[in-house]
Amino acid sequence: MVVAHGFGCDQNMWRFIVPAFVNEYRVVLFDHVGAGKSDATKYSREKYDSLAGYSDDVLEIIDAVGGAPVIFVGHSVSATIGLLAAATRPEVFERLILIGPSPCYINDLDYIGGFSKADIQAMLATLESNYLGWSSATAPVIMGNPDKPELADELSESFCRTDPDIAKDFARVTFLSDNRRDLARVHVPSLIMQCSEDIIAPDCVGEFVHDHLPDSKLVHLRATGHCPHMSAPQETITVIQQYLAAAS
Amino acid sequence: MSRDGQDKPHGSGVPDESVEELYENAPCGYLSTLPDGRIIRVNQTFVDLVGIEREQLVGGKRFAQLLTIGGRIFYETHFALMLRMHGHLSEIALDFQRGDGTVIPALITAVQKRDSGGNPLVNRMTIFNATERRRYEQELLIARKRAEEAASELTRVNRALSSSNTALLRANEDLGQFAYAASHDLQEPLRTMTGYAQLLARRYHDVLDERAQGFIEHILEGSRRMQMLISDLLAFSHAQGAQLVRRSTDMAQVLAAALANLESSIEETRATVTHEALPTLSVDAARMAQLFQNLVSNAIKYRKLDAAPRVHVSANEDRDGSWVISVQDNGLGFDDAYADQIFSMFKRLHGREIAGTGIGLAICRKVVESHGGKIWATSTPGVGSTFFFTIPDRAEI
Repeated sequence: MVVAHGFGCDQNMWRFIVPAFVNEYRVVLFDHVGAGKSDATKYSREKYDSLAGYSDDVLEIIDAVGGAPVIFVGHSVSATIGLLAAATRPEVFERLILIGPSPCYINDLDYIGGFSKADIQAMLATLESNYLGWSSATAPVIMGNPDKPELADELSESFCRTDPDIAKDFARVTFLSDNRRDLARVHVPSLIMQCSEDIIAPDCVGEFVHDHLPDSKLVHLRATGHCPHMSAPQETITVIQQYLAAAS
Repeated sequence: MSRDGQDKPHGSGVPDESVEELYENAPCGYLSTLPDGRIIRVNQTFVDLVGIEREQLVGGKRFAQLLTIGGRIFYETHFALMLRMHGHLSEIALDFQRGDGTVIPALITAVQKRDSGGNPLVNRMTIFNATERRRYEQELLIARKRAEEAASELTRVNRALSSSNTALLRANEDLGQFAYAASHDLQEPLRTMTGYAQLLARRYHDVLDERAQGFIEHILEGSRRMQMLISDLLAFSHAQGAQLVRRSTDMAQVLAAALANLESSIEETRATVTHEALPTLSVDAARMAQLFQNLVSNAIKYRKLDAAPRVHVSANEDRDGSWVISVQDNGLGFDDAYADQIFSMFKRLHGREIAGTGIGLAICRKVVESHGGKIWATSTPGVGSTFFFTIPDRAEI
């Protein structure tokens, strides 16, 4: 099982659900370039100026760890990255688990992605304000965690650490990309997990993906927001387990 | 909140500082939400900041709904995740969409209260109005962008400059080689022409009439001038081309060597050349001799007819450690307006009545510049001229 984090965090975002799968699967976690403990020096604007650069990385990881075909779990933009990888090389994928996928964030004629171009520009400005260095968005302040002292220091220090320049590029590539036409190219069976009240990937987007993605199953979660694996880990685990059990 | 415990009303004149009063009217906005973002409590300061009724805020509204769309995306992709991960977030810059449609920049610090099992119970936030700070931040961002653009522009210009410098150096080298080759090759046919003209004058002296002999004399005179031009050109291309051989050199000895070469013209014009104490510098002695020789010979050449030439050489150390050497004469002088032009190739201020090629001072400039120095002159017509040149301190031993 290869698990890919979305924009804004790193592989640590999976920590609440991964334990539920480690007995049954070999779970492979990774950080996209620029996130977490990845080697930011390997970043190049040329390679990563489209999501294809990231999906090439996913295929490389799958080849490197062996064990294909894999179950791919991707959150948000990584759901799209997984779809692109599966369109290129379907044989290395057994199932796709897509959490809050959106093939296109920007409204276009009668397609509703949820945002206008101006909204995305405003978001990039907000990113910029928070990446200036004094905010904890890039360099988290380490606070003692009285509830779980074992999680302190070293671990929490690296959570969601991102390289600000790369993150800005990643945001631009993520939110300005349009991969609607790629959906029909994917024939790997997939599960779409649609959250409630998700402003990043609204209900209508989940339905669009379901309509255009062959062999896909759509499940609506009670969990609200964009990150059910963090806000409602148990529900997320149950839905994934049920889907995989029904599939086998 | 134990209102009755600690916050007993005191005597009159003591303001109300009950916990409730403090919460409601604190100098920053307070807000609590459930882990899913639903607002459960706000203080009056926050209500006033966003201009939305309290009943609306705590009636099922989510925190992200109060933000601008850019802020909402940031909340979902960063803020909520990090609060869940770290249990704490500080100084996050987000904008609130106020009830009246205006936008208010804010700084938000948040903590997540959890139960003993680590499950989130409530998120608490303090909100500060950051309008001024955000404006300042934007200015900083713009300034930083400008600085980055300027830096990359500078890099680009520098790269272009260095490549045109390389091209210029190569062109100069080519030109120097051409000047050398041309002047060298011109010497041979000139020698042939001169030789045959001399033969003609000698062997046919009896046959040729006076007019023809006059013509031959003109040919020979032209040849001499041409020979002078060629040897000056050769000296010039040599001054430009070859590597400097820098050694610790006593400038007084260099001057003496130059004067030795000028002995006959000094005697002929009854010139006096004096000098002050001169330093020892790391220079190319042969080039320096050429420089002194050209300057002193100019001083003699452009002398006044009614006075014997007097030339005085002096040296002064500059504040930065370089040396300024001057050669002063009592000659004809020139109009200061020409002070820059005289160092250009073939530039002459005087006519044929004084022999010269217009190359001597160009050679002087080459010699000084190849040592990293500068050369210039000041003059008063009818009083005399002073030529100055500098040799930078690194040349000093």
